[in-house]
Amino acid sequence: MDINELKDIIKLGVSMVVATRDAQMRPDICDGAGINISSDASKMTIFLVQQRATRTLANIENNSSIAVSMSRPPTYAAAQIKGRVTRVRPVDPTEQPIAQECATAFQREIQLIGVTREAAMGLRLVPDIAVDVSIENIFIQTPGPKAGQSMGSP
Amino acid sequence: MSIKLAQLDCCFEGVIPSTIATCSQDGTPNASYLSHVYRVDEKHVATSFQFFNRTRANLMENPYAAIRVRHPVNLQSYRLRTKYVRSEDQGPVFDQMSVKMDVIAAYEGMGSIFKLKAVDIYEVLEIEQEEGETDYHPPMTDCPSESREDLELLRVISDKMNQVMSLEELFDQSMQLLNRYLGWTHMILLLADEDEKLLVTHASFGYAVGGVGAEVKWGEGLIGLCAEHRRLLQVNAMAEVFRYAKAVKLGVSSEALTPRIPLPGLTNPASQVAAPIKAHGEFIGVLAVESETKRNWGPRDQLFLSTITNMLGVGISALEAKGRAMKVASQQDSHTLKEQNPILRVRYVPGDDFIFVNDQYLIKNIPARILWYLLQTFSKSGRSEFSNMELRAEKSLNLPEIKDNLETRLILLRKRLEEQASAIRLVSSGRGKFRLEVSGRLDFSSGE
Repeated sequence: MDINELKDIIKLGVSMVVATRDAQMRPDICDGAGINISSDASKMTIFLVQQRATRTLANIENNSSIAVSMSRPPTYAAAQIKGRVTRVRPVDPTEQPIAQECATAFQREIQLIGVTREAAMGLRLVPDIAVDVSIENIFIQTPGPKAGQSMGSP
Repeated sequence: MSIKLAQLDCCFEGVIPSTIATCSQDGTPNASYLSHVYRVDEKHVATSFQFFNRTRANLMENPYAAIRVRHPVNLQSYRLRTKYVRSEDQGPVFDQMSVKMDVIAAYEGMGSIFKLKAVDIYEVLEIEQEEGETDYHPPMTDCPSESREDLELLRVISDKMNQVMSLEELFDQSMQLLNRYLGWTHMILLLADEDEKLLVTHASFGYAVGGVGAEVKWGEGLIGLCAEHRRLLQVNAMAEVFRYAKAVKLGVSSEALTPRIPLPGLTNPASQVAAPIKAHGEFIGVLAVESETKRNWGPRDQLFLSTITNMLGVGISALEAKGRAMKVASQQDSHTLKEQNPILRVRYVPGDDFIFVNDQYLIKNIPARILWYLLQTFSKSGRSEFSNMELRAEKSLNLPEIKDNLETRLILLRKRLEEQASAIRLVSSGRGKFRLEVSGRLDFSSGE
């Protein structure tokens, strides 16, 4: 997997999980509602639904460490991006179409693994928070011999 | 803890992959997907440890982890705040998860990759339900059920199973009941041949071809693994679990070195479950159920299946014992059927214990010897009435002395003859007695 492949996977619709930690080193987990990655893969923006990311946002305020794992449900192709949060802000209206594209792709993909249309479309995926991240490293997470290998730093 | 772990059982079935967040000692978080989460008890869950990876390294440094599981139907998710407490490389939890890995390995042909190294056990400190996540709230019927209706349903099923008078009736009735009351559409009942380490299909439900006599070796596919481990095994969401597998068959590899009857099975099953039939500590067989539509064999289905297989075990055991104990005098009827055309070529292969009728493989082992004996006797003496007692006393059949399973072997033989629409039939003529009907002229040969 290379950076372009990662971008393709993101376009096709990924399940996204965000890991952060508090001052006591206790981890938290929440869903991402979309991603926008820069062309040189040095930066990305993760979209979150505030109501479901309370502890994640508190953790980010405490420290900037973040890990985001992305997996394409039907194939298990997966990658993890680690980095530092540079800014937390409301989602810009111009970013909503990107988030919407991610949501639509995700809803389509999970139906491929058997989730009903009603359940997929019932998910509330409209984000209100954008988290800008400076990417430090990208790892392959697809199950197999290369899992855990670094795809390099930007 | 207001939400109990047992309430989340159907979230642990692997339909929607669970996720885990850990944190290294230096404070770097890590997010990952989990292949399996298993509920150990009311306060603990376990995950499989197959590979040394970042998640595991983090747990060794910092035991806290957040695990997220999702309900497979409404996608509601739950966050489990946990603390890693220990790893186990033996014991019941390890065995249970190890068997699941074996099932995947059996389908994928990736035994070494899927080999379970250990199970990691976590204490669950807190469970949170994700709020405001979905607008989809269907009525939940599959997880978990504690209704009195289920108990009443079980009573009805057990009542009906209790009324059967023969093994054949028990096999057919049990599957009809499961179809009628639980809506299960495709089922196979196989009985164990301990000496041969294989299972033989005795009855099936829902398939175009019954497949009576089809065999599954122990350890082969889900059914064979169920026999080997004597434990209920299930594969939910097969497409998800075995995405890499191109062609999934329920039990048997395509390689057939000897004549084989094809095992009934769906071409594209969505989920399968196999439960051992046991009685008095003895393994008797397997009841396998599969579905072509996506469904989960949730805790309720598992409870039903385990209870039904227990009933079947006791029923089979009791009816076989009854058959052995019957001291019915063998009334040898000299009734002879007129031999008619056409010719029925019967070939017995002693070395392999196969029997062929009109060059078509029929059956092997003891049922083959029984048929050969019946036909030979009929041909020599014209006698067509036989008794189980007589067969038990017949040395040439070489029946096991302790537990011969004669009744089930006769059912198997009868059904195979029926399935082949053979001109040879076995017809019950009273308790422990049956009549051989042959519509044709017998032409025997023996050897390869």
